[in-house]
Amino acid sequence: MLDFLRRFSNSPKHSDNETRFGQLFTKPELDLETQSNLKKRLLNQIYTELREDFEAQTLDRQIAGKKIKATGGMLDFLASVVEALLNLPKVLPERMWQTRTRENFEGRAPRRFFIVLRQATAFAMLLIVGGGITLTSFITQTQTAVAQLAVSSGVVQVREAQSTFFEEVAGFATIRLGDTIRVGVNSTADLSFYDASKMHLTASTEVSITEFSPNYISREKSGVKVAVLSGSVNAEVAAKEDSSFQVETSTGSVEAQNAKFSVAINPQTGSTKIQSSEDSEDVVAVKSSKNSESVALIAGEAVIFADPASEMLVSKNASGEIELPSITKIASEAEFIKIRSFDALVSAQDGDVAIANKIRAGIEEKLDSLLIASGVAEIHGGGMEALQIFVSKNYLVGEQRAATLANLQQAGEINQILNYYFVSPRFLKGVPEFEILANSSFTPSGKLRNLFAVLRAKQLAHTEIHATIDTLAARLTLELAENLRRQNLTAELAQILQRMENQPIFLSVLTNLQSLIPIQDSAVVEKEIQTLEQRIQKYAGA
Amino acid sequence: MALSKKELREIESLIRKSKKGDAEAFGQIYDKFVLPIYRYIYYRVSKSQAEDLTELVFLRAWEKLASYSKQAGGNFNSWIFRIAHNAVIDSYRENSKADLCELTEEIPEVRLAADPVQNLENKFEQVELIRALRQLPDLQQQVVVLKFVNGFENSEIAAVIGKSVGAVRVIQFRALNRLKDLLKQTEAASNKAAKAAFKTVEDA
Repeated sequence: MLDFLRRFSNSPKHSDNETRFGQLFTKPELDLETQSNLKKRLLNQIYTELREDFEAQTLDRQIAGKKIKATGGMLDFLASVVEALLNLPKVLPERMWQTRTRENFEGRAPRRFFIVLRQATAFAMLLIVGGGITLTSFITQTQTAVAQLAVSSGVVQVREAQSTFFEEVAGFATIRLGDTIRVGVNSTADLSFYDASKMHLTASTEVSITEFSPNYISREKSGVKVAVLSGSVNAEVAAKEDSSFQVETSTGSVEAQNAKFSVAINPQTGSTKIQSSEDSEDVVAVKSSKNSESVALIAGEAVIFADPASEMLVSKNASGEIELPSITKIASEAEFIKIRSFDALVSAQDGDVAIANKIRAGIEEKLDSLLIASGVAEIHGGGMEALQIFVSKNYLVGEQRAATLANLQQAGEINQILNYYFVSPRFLKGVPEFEILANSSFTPSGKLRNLFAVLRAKQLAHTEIHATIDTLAARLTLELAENLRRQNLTAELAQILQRMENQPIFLSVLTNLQSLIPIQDSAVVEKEIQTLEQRIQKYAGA
Repeated sequence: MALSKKELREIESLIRKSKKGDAEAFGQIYDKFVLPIYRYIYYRVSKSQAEDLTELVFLRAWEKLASYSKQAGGNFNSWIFRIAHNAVIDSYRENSKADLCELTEEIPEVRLAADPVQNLENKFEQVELIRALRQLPDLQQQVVVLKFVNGFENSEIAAVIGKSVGAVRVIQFRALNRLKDLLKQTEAASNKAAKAAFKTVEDA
């Protein structure tokens, strides 16, 4: 090869040798299978790009949809017309200037005429613009496009405001105030609102545009309200100041700006779950239909609004003594036993045997109750083993203890307990409050921390257990009240209250607590409530 | 890689369709150009990278197809090879060049001869040739591969690298001289090693 190269490079007639030199290089081949695979991959990517382009274009079209754009664009158009007409008198003399000699034109000098003409034209145009705006507002208020609907898959129907029938949508549709959209089974659709907010409608969802207050001069100051009648939606609200975007259901509502959230109606219970997305930029303000106060959900938080008929379990009697939840206020006897067992356990752990006995008097000391009450033993991390140790040390004595310990071998029971009081251990994994649980001891304030942590964990775990959350909130209120009553406001309790201040979900706890605690501590709690309310108002903008 | 007028017309037609979003038409363009592009890339990067880069070239071509214009003096052949060249340069930037020169894990494919010894010789020749080739400046590599692997005319190479035909000739001349020197060094080193080995055997 070297000899050849030597000869070749020295040869004055390269072309004679080029073919031979080319033969030195083997021509690598791509086998057909590789070629075919490469082609498949390439075409897949191209199809993906095409699809994404199409979707992006569709979205752009929807966001700047012709009909929506027409409402705001009309002003732009009118403004440009006015500007052009106002400039016309300026342009005319310039053109005339060009066609005449300077001397001739200056000699006649119709300058005054053009000034008058310009002013008259401007006045006329202002009249036209004013009339145009009035006309546009009149037309658009009666039939305003609120959003563009894009059918992603399946069957989607729309019932117009004045109609009684649903009509199937093929591809796209303009949605106006009063329209109702029904998304079929295995179907999805997307709404792109006038202000660039977006809403994804999942299968079996029905929504209606119940309010729309457009502002055509400044489209910022406008608002829309969407009622979710069934199913679930995922909303991505644009960051528009002074623009309001609300979603409501029969049990709650949410209002947001520059935020992402989902609203889902449980078809069985009718409860509404509102969840702020983990990547949501801003908080969302949620409000129960039975409560006029909004609370703020930060990114990742969720709240469930149950049927308005459900009530908090905490109440207070006239004398100021703690009234435990009565069976009439609780769904079932089993629930009642669980709560009472837990009460008994808490009291016993705190060394208040008299209270423990008092609470326990009304319930049967069955293993189930004990197990349920002892669920907190899980915090020592050993599950059943921890529970055994706990029982042997703290609870029963003699034969009863031996029998209990023997029965604790039924491993299945522990999960039921934990499921009840701690949702499910798997939900607690990774939740920061689990750390608190794991390190907690069975001191009175430790108990508080546990309850606090569990309640918070439940909230973070987004579990649909509204009733349990209420129960736990009630328990937390009672615990706080009891501790405050017996110990006054210790530093530890103050810390807990402070932590609660950051969590709007505890507003009801604090509010209930206010009426249950000793007078000397009420000022502190009241302060906490005020702080919390201020935060809520700040977030909710209420 | 001179294309007939009919082929050129056909390619232009496919390009027009592709520009309108016809992926199948682009698939046909791929069929026509995949092997030349692969061969061009093969000699510039490692074999394992060659397939990925080939795919990347066609993906970029698809993305930039709108910018391709025959009226603007374009020629699809040179246009897509320029994309291939840029892809190679990008891959150089991403990886160290030293890695690309490593041929330990890849013995190039060679034409099989009847004589197994000859086959081995051919393989070594290829390894040496590729190693030497990769030591050339980028432009010289490009010219050599386009000329001797892809079979481009000098005018076609000129269109790809954006130089005159005369400049292509000069680059080619320098490239071959440099290749000769490099291979001479390799041969000398081999001879020295062979002599050392021979001496060791003799001493034994």
